[in-house]
Amino acid sequence: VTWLLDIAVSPFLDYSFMRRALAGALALAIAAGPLGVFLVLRRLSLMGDAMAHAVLPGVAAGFLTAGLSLGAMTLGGMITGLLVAVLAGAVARVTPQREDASFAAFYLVSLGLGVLLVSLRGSTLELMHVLFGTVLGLGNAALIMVTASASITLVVLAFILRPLVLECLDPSFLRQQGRLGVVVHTVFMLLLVGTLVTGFQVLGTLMVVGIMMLPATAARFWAATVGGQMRLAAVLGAVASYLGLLLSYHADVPASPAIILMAGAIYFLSVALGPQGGLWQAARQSRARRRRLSASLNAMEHACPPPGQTP
Amino acid sequence: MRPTGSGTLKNIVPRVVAVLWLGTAVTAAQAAGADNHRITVVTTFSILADMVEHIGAEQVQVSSLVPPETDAHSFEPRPQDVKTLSQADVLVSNGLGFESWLPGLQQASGFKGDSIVASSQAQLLKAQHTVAPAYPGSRETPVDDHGHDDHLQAGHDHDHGAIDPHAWQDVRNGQQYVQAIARGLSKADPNHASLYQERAQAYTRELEQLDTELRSEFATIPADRRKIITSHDAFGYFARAYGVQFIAVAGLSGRAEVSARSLAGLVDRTRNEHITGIFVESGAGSQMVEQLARETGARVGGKLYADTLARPGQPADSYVGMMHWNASRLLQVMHAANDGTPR
Repeated sequence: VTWLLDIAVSPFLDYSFMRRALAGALALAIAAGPLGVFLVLRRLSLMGDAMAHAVLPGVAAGFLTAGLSLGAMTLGGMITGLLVAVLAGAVARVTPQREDASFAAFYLVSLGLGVLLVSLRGSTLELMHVLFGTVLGLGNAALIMVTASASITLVVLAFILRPLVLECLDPSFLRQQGRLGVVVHTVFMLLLVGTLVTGFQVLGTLMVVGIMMLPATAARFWAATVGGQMRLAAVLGAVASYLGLLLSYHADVPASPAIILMAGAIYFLSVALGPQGGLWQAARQSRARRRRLSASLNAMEHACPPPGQTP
Repeated sequence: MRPTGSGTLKNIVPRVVAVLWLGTAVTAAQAAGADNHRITVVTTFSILADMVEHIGAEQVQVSSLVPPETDAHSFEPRPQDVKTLSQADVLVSNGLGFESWLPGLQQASGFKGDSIVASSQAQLLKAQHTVAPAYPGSRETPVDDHGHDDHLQAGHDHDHGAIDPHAWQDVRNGQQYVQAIARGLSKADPNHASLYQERAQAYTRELEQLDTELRSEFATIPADRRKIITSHDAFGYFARAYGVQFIAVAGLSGRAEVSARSLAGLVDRTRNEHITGIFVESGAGSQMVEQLARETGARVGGKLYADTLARPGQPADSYVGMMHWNASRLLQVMHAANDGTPR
């Protein structure tokens, strides 16, 4: 038991940066997972990616004007993130191009613009910090911001949960209800961008999508209901954060990729073992089906033997 | 008595006037000529540019390829730099593999002028590859300030990695830089050789004074208070010259993404070795450093300038100013720790 404590608990007792990292990552994971579930439901998994990159030019612009100021970078990220969401949606509505294609176009442009802007003033180091975050160097301001954003996200999500689920499952129904659909969609985008913007402090704009999408996709293999998936996504994200930090500590690897890889491991485990369409279950079902089939074939053979063997 | 005396006197006045006039004319012509033949000097980074300006003054036109506040290590030459270099009469570089991008740039520009390697007479140090912070099983080479016997002469090995190229961080080497630059300028522009030598002498005396001052100031601090963590191992020469122990760590420098393990090792080391202060080189990120300070109670000392000057108008915008600035930052942290002021 002592060695288990040594491995699993003492790093967090000995070092305050580990506690801060854990707090920040947990807050982020608990808010991001449920949002990810909706993106999966709406078949917009890649939109998370697009939005995360859309945040980058704004963050860079904030960085250019005000230096490493948390407020300016967050504000800039919110603005460009929402701008891209609106523009990509508009392009999809006005032109025949589908939403995923316009999102891809916008996110590639934003990525290029963002990297260019950061490089204008910063060194490659600052670019690395924006892309991969500084989970091990979370200051008070960043920590407060990410926990506040996570709390707001969860509360607001609870309020709009019902119409949001409706919109995901039956978009035409909400459209008939008039403005409600637009409001719900806008609020959801706000939450999404807000979470991504505060999350870049923790995991960086490249990695923050991982803690949003991977637990959400993994949860789908375990829970049948949307509510169940949301709860599970939050829990799986939290577990991945904890394990990732431990991995970074014991295996001496960078923290934010370690967290995402842990989430990835959970995803692959879920694909293999999950009861809701996982591989193992699929194999068992097909074996059972084959057994049933051959059993009924046998029964048929006994009931009516082939014509050649009749005496 | 024939009035020769007054005659001579009468003749002398216009002569003197004529000589004076001629003299001014010649000086003016010289000045005009000098303006026409101002030699164009390109240096690789801002510290060398400052030295050249001290020595060349109005006889040279100096520009630096790497601008102030920019990391020379990650510098990417732009087309404009190729043009600048192609039009230069003299190129001043640090050498020792510091400017890894220079050979390519030189080729691209077709530069045919005189080349000055400023570090050619400097007392060199082997590079301290202090990449990882100390934790069990880690690779580490502490920068140690006493008993160095690995002083090497320049020209022995120019491979970056074998020799620490940041030789100017020791002001005695800075004096060697000044001498090398003065020699090179004199060769490229023999008409003003005496001017260059004169200014170089004056500048060297100023640097000697600076060196003495720094040595005596650091000597007043107990040795165990002279332990500093930096983000980049650029202070090996400073360590040797002024007896400050620098522990350089990766992770803080951002060349490698930091792991929780290495940050934990750094925290342990800072606590165990009673590190006085943590300094981040200009340009490097600060979140990890602030975290480290929160965790250990070591002082964050702000910026030290390693291989670039500050923008004009700031205290560290010249070589002397930079050395003063670095020393004053270090001394401030060390004095505070020495006095035991609450953190």
